[in-house]
Amino acid sequence: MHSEEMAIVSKGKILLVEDDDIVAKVADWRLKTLGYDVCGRVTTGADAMEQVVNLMPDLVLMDISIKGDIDGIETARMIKKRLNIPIVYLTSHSDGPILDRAKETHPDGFILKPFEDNDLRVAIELALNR
Amino acid sequence: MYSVLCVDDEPRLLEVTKLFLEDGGKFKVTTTTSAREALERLNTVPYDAIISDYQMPGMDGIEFLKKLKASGNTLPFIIFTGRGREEVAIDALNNGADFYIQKGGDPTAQFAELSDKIRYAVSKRQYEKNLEVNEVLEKEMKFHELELLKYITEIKQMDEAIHTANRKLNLLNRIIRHDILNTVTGLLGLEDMAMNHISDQDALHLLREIKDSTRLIQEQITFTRDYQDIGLGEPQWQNVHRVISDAIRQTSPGNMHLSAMADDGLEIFADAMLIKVFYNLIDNALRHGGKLSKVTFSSHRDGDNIIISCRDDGDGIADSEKEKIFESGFGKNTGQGLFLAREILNITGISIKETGKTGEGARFDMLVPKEAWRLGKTGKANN
Repeated sequence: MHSEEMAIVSKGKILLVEDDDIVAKVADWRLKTLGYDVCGRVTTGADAMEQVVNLMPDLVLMDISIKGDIDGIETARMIKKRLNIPIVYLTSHSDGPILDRAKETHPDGFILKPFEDNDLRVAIELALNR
Repeated sequence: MYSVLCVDDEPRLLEVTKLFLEDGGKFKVTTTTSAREALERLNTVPYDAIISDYQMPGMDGIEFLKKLKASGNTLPFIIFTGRGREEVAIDALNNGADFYIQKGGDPTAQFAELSDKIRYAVSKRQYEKNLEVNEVLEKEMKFHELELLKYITEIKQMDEAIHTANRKLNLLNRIIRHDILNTVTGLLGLEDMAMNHISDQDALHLLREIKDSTRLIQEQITFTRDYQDIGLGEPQWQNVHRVISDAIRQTSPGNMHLSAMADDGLEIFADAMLIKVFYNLIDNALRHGGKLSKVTFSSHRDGDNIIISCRDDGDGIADSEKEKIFESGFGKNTGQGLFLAREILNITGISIKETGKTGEGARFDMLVPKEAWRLGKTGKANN
């Protein structure tokens, strides 16, 4: 059973990059329930670049297929070039060329959709403690 | 035996020629006293060679020769000329005669020379004919080679078209799967959120059922990923022991005992997704086998064929369902596991059926025809 009251002390600031409204909504809810502070939610790579500098999150949860000219993998590559912020991919691609490309950016974690609380918790904890 | 037509206006000379030539038993000589008569005979009877005198009333040897060549006759032609008539001999050779022989001299030597020349001319003609036939055959072969090349090109193009179509379908599959999984992510989350807000037990029960259905959609759609590559790669020789061992490693058997047969070097020619067949058999046993403690693989010879068996000690399959289990959509979960197992095996001519006794466990027999199995380096097949 989830409880929003449980999230009193933040376990970390997370920037959510996800263009699907419903997935973003449930990810936001799950993260808060798990005790994280969702400091921002954006739907494009350009916005993600901007918000990463503004908000300085502890971790970026990055969907791969997002709106805009650059996808999640390119955005992750650019963020990693400038800032030392862990990036965890959120994706439904569990095989094929997209996953291979994603691996090349040396991400700090992968979460396969569909995900539930435990998938999020394990991947994020591991990434934050690296 | 050579059949020779001999033309001379002197019957006595014809008689002598016939006598000499036929003496050795190698020639059959037909005689005629005029070129005109000879032409008529040639229209109806086949000969191997023609011997003709030059000087004859009505039509001489050269005219006779010209007429023959004009009509397309290619039989070896040997002409008799008088002594000192070299210009006749040259004229004859220019018009296509094979040899000339001067009359007079020792008859024995002359006829020996004649028979040699006939034999030589006939062989030469035969050789030329063979060459012609060879040329025709070569031309035909070249033509067929070209046709074959065209055919191969067409097949290659078709093959490429099929591969392109397959790749596109795969891509489409991937995109749709991605979108559905995204939606399922949202659904599962919304269901959890709703459950968090609802205290009514009936409503909660309904929500749990909705969530179970959502998970089933997730399973079904994930299943399409596992099988999207079926038939895409070339079939290959695979070590059965190794593939089964890999399949066992991918399952979660709990307390169950899973055993592959020993590595006896048995290899089978099968689609690259063969591992899915074994995985599915184990997974099916674990899911639907009821009370079972082990799943065992083994192989044995059956005449020229090999039978690979997968046995468990669970509830077994009801007689009425032994074939139905291989139908698409039958059973719980995705209902595609055994259907696809049969499809995968079928690509290289391997058949599968359920042969166990109800109540004594399931037994799946895979019959591998002789072309599709061999023994690798490790040893011999079980007998």
